[in-house]
Amino acid sequence: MTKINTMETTKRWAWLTMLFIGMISISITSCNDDEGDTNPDGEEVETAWVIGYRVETPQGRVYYLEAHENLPSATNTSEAVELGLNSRIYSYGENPYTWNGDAATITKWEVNKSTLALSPVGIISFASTGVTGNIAEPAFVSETQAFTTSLAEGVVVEWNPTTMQITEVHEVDAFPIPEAYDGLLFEFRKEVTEDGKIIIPIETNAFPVCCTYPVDAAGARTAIFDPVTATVTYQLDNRLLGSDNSHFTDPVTGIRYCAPVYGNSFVPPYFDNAESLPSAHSLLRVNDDGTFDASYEYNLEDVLDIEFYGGTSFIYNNKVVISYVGDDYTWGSFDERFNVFSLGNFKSAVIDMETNEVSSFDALSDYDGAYSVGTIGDQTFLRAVARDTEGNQITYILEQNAIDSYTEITEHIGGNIEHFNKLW
Amino acid sequence: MQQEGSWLSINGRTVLVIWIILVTHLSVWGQSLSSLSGRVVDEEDNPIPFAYVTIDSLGLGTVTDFQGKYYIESVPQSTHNIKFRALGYKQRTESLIFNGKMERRDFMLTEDVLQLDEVVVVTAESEGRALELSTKSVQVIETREVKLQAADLGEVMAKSEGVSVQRAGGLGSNTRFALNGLSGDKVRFFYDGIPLNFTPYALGIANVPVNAIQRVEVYKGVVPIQFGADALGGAVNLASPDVHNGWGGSASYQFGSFNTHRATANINYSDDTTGLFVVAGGFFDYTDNSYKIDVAIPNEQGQLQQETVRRFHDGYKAFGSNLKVGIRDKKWANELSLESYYGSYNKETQNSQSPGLVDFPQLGIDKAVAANPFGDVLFTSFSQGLNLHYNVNPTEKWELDLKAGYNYNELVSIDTSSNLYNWHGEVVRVQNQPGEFGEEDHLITKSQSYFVRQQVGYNLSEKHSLKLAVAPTYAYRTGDDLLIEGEFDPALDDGYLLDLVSGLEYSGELMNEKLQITAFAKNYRQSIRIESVDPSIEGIQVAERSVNNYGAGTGLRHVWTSRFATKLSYEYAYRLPRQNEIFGNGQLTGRNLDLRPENSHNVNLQWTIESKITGKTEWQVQGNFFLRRVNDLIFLATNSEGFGVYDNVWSANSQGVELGGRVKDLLIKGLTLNANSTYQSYFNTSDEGPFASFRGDRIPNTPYFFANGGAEYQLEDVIQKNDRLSIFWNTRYVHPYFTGWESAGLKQYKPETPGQLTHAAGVTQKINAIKTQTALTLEVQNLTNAKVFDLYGVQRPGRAFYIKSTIQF
Repeated sequence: MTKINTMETTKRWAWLTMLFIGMISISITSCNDDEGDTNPDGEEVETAWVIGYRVETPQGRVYYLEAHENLPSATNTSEAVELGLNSRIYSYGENPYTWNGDAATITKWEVNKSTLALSPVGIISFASTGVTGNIAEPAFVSETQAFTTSLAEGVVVEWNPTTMQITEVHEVDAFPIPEAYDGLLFEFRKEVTEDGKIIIPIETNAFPVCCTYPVDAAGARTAIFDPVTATVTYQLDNRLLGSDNSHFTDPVTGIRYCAPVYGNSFVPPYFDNAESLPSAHSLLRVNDDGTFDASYEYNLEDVLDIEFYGGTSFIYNNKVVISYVGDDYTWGSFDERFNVFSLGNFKSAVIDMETNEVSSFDALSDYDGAYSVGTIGDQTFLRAVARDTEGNQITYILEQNAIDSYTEITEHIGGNIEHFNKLW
Repeated sequence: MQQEGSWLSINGRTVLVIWIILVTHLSVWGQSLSSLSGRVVDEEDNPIPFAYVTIDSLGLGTVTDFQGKYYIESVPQSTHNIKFRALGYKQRTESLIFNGKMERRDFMLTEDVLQLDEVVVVTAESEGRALELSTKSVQVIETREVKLQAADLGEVMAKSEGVSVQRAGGLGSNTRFALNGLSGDKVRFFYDGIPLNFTPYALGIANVPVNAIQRVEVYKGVVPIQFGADALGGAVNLASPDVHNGWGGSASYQFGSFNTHRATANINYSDDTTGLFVVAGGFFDYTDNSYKIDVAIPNEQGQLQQETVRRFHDGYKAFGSNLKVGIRDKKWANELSLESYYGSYNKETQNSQSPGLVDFPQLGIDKAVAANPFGDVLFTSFSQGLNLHYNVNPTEKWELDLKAGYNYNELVSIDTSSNLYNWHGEVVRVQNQPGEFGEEDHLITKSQSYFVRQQVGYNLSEKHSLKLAVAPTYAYRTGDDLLIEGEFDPALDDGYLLDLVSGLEYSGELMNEKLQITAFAKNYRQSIRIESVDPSIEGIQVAERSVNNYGAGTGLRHVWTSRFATKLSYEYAYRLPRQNEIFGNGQLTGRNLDLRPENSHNVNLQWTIESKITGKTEWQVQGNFFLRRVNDLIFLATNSEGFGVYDNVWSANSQGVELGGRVKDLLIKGLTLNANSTYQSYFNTSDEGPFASFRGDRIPNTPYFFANGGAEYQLEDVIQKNDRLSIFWNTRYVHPYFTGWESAGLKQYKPETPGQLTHAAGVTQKINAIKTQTALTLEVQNLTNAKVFDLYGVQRPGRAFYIKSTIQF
């Protein structure tokens, strides 16, 4: 047994303890942050690309933004700007814009011409307009005019991306939501037409309640906003059960198509009035004014044994490439309908909509899904998703060399690539 | 990070071998001197725990254990005076001759009526002290002093090493409680060994009134079998106040900033002659939580301007009561009691836990909330039930302890408003789509639960015992989505859950009681059954699943000297998956019948050094090295369409060190100082799955370095004799931590929960009378009005003033 019997020793113990605790505190708090990339004297780069993506964390999905001279072979999270949870990423002109869904704000970013460093240069809030949450990409008409919409609320907010100020809040006719619906609708993609109008494809949510489908909820829909009159008109076409949130334009013919949404495939197996409803798996054409072409319908079920429609990858020269699950799939109960994503045998097919010729499409067979992003400059891109053998989700930016030839340009491990674009 | 952990890579067997060699060596070394052992008892031969036994001339001494036993070694051959002291008893000094042999003496102390009012305190603290002196990896927080102060239980517990409490606001707000990094349902909570949801305190541990408990027992990583819990990271047990012969009780009332009122009352009666006892208690909490926060409010052009406003829809009201009737100290029952309870709360919700923080210095916006507030979201709940407790020693060697209970709980969430509010509390729009949180919601969840904790103990000998615990818990849950009428309603699914956690434990003392050993094995069984109505299929749909897993653990405590002891403990623990994790929700979350339980290897190495008992200055320093190796962690992995299943996709290690110290009467008599700090490296070790790219990163949104300090100065006889004036100050520091993976994102733009440095100070005047003790406390919390966040974007209360009065009799 050791004797410690002097006051000095006692004090020493006590003070040493306090000192140790203090030193741990000081040593940790004194760690310096990195100062970031600085190269102010560099020459201006000729091109700049922006990539936005997300990664999973135990607390949810966190979003990131990067700028590069050319599309990189892989994302680099350590050099990215972290945007936080519930974000969206857009770009227009030479600037990326990021939506903070929790705050209902859009932040404008500037990319340094030499270093490509990103810095925030403005912020605008939509909080008092009713535009909140999981909101869609704005329609950028010019450097000084953009529109953000919340059609469920009947609000179109006109704002100036240069000054980052709201110029006007337009109260428009709200989207006529069927009463039976829970009310969610998606208006993710917008297209500014040559005459300055904005076409908004509308996706209504997969109907959550079984087993009689409300007739007034059926139909393909688009909205057309006219900035001149500040009015919205809605188009409804009862030949398709529900439309996707994106239109597909054939780059060869210039024809715009309205595609089905995957939730349509749940209706035939579960709903007792399915036969009296519109087709679940038709393609329609959309005119330049946003109306549906009444003379055209292409029902995929006529050429394909399709049980579940996964999505359209792209349409090229009157040929559509889709992913689907064939009629060898057996549905479980309504509760288990989403299991098709994990249990279904997904296949890709290319369908010639002129000749009705159907063939398997193997060029994208390495991926769980691939979707056209469009043409940037003279390059056509797709975004593809796959999982490696260890279960990691990998997203690729693919460059389309030919309809059946692709090159993997950028790889991102751990989540979706949400946005990429060439800024200059 | 892996280098930091290298010292912990020594396996358990190596540690044990080194331990045994050291213990053996020390025992041989001490044999050439005399030793003294025995018991200290009262006049009725009852053991007196925690009596001081000292040889002042040699600076030697010890404290008796729970059985009144003591042991002093290394006594030189001579005649020495042995002094015995215990609160409530007269001091006694005996002279003994030591001749190099082992001496054994029992001593009796007689009651000192002048110290009787302190006896209650000694008894209360003794059970906690006994736990600390056991092999259990437990930290005991006595509430004797803090219950006079205004801090709530969350704040009290946050002052402990290894404990992190993240609050989403003020009183009544959601709490994220973490032990050594592990949080959520990886940590289990109990009240007198009963699961907390079988008590009036349904809203969680942080909001339990401090005055309703006597002490907090924090079990870190290694959970005793009697709790019957599938806790991965540890457990917290709240112990109720003891009941003594005659009338007793306490009451407290606190009011202060943000229109906060908290009241507790407890009265008890016990008749030692008949054995009858009655305990009745209750609490009432009310607060507006109308504290000021910084917000960014847009003008008509959408440009943000920072303002400081008061929260206007964050109120909390809770009420609870309990009545316990029983009989005790009979041959056929040490205790037989029945308790009924009722608890309810209403909680307004002002914002989500991710309310959109904007930090834009160029515009003068410094961490301000930019999202619209909620003005109508409300959660209500009530809970009621019965608990039965029976404890008996059928023979001297056997002990039976049985706890059983029933609980009915209803939780209602209401989010049906179409109003869009601004931070001034004004409705700025009426929305077409109701629902402020998101989609419109009006849901009732109802559950009925039953539990049994049955424990049988058998003393193999005076120093060796066995315990067997069997703990089934059965729960039935259903609900109703009030917005769905006459249609398929997933909330109406019936869920049946049976958890059965059993354990067998051996406890023993070796090497002249210097080495205590506990070893245990646990079995975890779980059966789940879901009965649902699926209109697409005729009849009731049934889904079932069962699992069976085994765990084990051990604890060793060695007393090296009367002032230095160490503990080594280990458990291989499980956390069984929850119903929704296995079966999904019938919508975008699918079922995964192959989901495995989360599991963890938990190791603690604790040590304590105390001042010698004969010293004028009392001090204690304790530390703990801990390791948690957690595997098969469950995560909802979703695809790009939003469909997902819960899966075992990630793993993590948490390792670190805790250090704490306390010194009393150091420079000035009456001055007590305390400090502690925790550094934990809780990092991702996933080789595959969505987190594999960030292997080695700290787990986001988890504090990893925090420290507490405090000082109290006590003055006796200030106003009148036997009173005491206490001036106290407490401080807490939490180092900043990231909300995303630490290796991702440029530091200058990376969202980070800022560091916290907060202070609380106050003064308590305590007046002791013969039968009663009253106290009045004036306290200011967050003294510097610091802008504090526990969760990114959720600002906590600023400076607040409270007055609290307590009476105990």
